[in-house]
Amino acid sequence: MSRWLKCTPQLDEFYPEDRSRPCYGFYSPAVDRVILVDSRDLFLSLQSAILFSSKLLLLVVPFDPARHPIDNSTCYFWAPHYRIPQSAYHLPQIFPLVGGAKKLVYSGPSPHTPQDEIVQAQEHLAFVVQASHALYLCEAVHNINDATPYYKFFPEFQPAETADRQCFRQVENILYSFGSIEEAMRQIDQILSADLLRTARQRYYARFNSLLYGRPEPPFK
Amino acid sequence: MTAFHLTIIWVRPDHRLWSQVYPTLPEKGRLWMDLAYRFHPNTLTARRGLWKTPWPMTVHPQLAMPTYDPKFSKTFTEVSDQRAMEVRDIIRQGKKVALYYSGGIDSTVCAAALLKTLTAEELKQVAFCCSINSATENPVFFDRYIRGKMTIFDSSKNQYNDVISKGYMPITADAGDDIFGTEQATQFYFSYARLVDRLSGAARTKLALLRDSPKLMELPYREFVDLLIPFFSPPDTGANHSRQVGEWFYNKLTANVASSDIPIYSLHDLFWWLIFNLRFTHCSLRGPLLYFRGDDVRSAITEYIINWFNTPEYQRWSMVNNNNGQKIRKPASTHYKWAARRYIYEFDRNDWYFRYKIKSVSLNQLIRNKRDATAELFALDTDYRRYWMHEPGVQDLIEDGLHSFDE
Repeated sequence: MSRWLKCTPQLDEFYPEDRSRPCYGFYSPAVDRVILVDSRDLFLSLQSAILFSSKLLLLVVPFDPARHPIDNSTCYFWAPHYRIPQSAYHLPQIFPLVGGAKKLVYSGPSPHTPQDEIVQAQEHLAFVVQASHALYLCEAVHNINDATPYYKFFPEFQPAETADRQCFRQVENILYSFGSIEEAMRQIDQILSADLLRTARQRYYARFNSLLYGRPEPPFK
Repeated sequence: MTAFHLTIIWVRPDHRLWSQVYPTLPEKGRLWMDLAYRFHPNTLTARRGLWKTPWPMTVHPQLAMPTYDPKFSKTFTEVSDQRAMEVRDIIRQGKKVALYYSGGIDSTVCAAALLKTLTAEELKQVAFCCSINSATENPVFFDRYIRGKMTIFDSSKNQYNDVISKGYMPITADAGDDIFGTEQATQFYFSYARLVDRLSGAARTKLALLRDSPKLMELPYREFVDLLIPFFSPPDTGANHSRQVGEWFYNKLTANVASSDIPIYSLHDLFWWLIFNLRFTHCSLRGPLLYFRGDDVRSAITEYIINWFNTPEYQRWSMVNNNNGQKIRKPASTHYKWAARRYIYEFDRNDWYFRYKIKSVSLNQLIRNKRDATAELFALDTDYRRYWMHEPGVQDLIEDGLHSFDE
């Protein structure tokens, strides 16, 4: 048995044992509230926050669900005990709650941001989170022998631009810059359904939609 | 030496100024040095009212505060549009300009004003000096108005002297904070709960109740003295002494307020005055002093660099728009620089930026070797000579000033 694969209290702070309840929060320093919670994947949460940062800066906060009974109908009443200075973070990152002063506490409704605006932001973010899972899982499953991640180790070579890479980058770009969710859904579908004569594309398309919508085609088709 | 610009002395804790000179200083000399722990790398040099410094100084003629005009009635939009027309006149004289664009509210005001005022032909004479940080700070604006449409210079590779040598006049929005009274104010509002938690008794109870008041910043500043003194107190100097520094600074600041001819009433007024009066020179000169590599700093300051918010109109607008929601609507990061947010929104209709933009420190990303540069610069005198800490004679000058500093 490897001496490395073991739990440590520090590691457990990032990967809470109980994953049946939300344990990752998306905290907005602007609103000073958690605007969405999830329990699936820490690094995909961070990736979602990066994609959402064109709209709203978010920090991903891992928390212990046993001590924080938070779900998506109550998360916007919760915030770190002490407000995080506005200029401390320019880009999304993981923000561990170490020490009592940094713990999440029930803070009630935001005094400065109306709840309907928070709910609207939550809706947009939830779409980005779900679409991120769909996109990056599809990439990991379907993009066989893709050398893109290795180019950083061999800077003398430039990444080759294939149709699949272009497709992926376009979808990622839509998730970064979209205005309305409906518009984004249609734009993504237009990109992913462009080359469905290829079997590989058909599988990618069906899996992406299943992961995003729970069915192999988008709801408007 | 008479200075236009003085930095608060900052030296490492093991420097001889701390170990050998500090213990021999009179009380006020020590207090001035202690301020470095609170306001480094800033300067605090008054443009108006009573304000004594350890070294003689005078206000730079281009950075003087205009007279207070309570009847000034132009809106922020009118003032900003007028400023863009002034830049248009410069372009019509055959010159080119390069806007240092960070994606933050101040430089986005400049960008929006230029984009709405200049013709397509005139915009060909405008470059945007920006970086990936500018793009990530306001991606929508970058995508809609800059990418593929404007000449771009990489600000990480082009300091002021570089764009001047390309034939451009740099535009800086560095004094935007001064117009709106942000920076220290927003830090205070964010720290409010923490500051209240350190109090006890009746003061704590009273101030805790105001924590989420949307009108917090419009209440008289004297009601917050129990929080302001600890807020102005430098950390890491020992609890008792730290409070002494904070109290001295608060009294010095309020004495300056009392000797000025501009109404300062509310909490936000006080923070606005702190930056509008005491830091305007610093905010206006820090770029030319730290982001200009060249000998002719006089020409850089007086001829080449366009300081967007340094106009009598912007300053007069700033002086008559306190406590009416134009500068800050609520004590929250999403509600500061309200008039500027609205100005940008009227141009780009970006709800997300309007509602949720929060401050990001951008100048620090521009200044290379920031730590060395800001720590090393001591002063700029009226002959535009820069005084560096390591130069022969400068240490003597510093010591003499601190020894004779007694208000």
